[in-house]
Amino acid sequence: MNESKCQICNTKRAVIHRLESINGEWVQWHLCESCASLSTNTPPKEGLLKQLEESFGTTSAIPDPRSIHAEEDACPGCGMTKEAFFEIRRFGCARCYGTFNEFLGAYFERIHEENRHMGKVPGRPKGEPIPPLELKRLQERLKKAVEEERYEEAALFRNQIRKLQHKATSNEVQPES
Amino acid sequence: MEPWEEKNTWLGGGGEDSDIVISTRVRLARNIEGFSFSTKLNKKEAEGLVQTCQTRLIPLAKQEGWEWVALETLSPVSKQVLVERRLISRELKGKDLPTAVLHDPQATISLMIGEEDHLRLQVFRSGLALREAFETANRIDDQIAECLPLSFSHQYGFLTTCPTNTGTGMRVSVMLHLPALALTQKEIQKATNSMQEMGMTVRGPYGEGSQASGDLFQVSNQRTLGASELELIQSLENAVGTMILWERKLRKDLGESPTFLKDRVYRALGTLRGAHILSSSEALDLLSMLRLGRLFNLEGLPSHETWNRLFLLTQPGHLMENAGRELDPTERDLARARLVRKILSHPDDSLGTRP
Ligand SMILES: [Zn+2]
Ligand SMILES: [Zn+2]
Repeated sequence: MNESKCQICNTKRAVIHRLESINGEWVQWHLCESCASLSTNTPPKEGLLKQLEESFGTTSAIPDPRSIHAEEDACPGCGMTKEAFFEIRRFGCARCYGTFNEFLGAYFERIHEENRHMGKVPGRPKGEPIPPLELKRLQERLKKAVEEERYEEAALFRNQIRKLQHKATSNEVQPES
Repeated sequence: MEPWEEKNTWLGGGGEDSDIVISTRVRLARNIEGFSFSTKLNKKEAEGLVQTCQTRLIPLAKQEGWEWVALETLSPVSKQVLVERRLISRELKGKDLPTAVLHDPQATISLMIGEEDHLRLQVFRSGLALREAFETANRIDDQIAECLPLSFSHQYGFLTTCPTNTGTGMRVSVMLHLPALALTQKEIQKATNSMQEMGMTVRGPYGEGSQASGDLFQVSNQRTLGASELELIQSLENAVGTMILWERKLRKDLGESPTFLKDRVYRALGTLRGAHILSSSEALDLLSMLRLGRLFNLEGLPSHETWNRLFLLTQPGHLMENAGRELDPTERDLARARLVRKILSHPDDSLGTRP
């Protein structure tokens, strides 16, 4: 992406980046110096939105701050940046997981000690291949559960494996078990 | 009797290990493809989200006999009542955006729409019933997944707004009544620490950020990723099992000083019967002693059902609902004392002497 432009004037370079909560929604602002000081000395708030509404006549003419990405690593789904993520420690949309994948593995390890899902898998669209690692992990868990005589868990893993294998070979939409 | 007071609800007073475990909860967090998470959700999207859920979930709701409640149609008092019945969270209550909740008449299942995650499914049971509650939650979750496309990745599992929920999106918790452990600060601190070492979070009775009162503690799993649902349930069961043994041992010791025990219990009963101003934390602390006394078969104490009624009806929302208007904290303390006196001075068949 090109060097980012101010979201308001769309001409000058954005040098001020601020995360705002507007009506409980997190919005990342990228503004030039003059636009940032346009309303008051305080960061842009609802007041600024109103001002923009008046000058543009309608809010739809205002560029949606979420669709503009000042930084290259911003999420294409919601505009969340890495900095913003670390500030609020929340994702902005499902695509954030892909966007931040590079550091998420280590991040999850810090929180959960592991970084791979081992729980239930919802209905998989037809013909989608099973990620081999997932199947392998499940088989390992199954073996361990049987060895430790945790049969209830073993049955669950066996079901999941069967479900996975079945889904991968079937072209029918599977009813949920 | 209201439907939620029936035996099978989380306040029914029965179930496994109900001398210590008051209730069990399983919560699943899910998001729906195509919508921003709550952090980025604007009003228009929130409206779309609620509408989509309503349209897609109607058949399931009909089949399960659930009621649809749009929160913006409720008064603050009615919302507070739902919080106290645990059908909605305080977070959902505080949202400015359109939100809704689907729940069954017994108040054992609730599906919040528009919380931190698009969907938060909760299943409650009385006593210790983690597997049973999970089975129900799992079945409903499967059915929801047939109605709505859920955000899921093979690597990270269910994609949640907060990274602390990613993976299974599952938080299982139990509410424990630990009066013997809480009798000494040292013991309860030791117990809390050991829970944390076992990977559990310990909170007060009203959830996140709440102070422990009434000797009630909520214990839940910390991690959600890298283990199966049953493994997470197993580890909570292990942790809770430790607490149960610990509490029972201390109760046994307590039983060996019957005079001390009776003194504590009947002082509490006397205060509750005589109080004209009663704060919610004082009420909870005193009620805790009544529950303990009942477990020792002491006479003249309320049954678990009556106790649960007292526990619920003395909370602010229920007091205000009962009064039919909003009450300030001082008025609530008077209303609470009045209600407790009334319930305790009119012994009905639920106020027997049998355990
Ligand atoms: Zn500008
Ligand atoms: Zn995103």
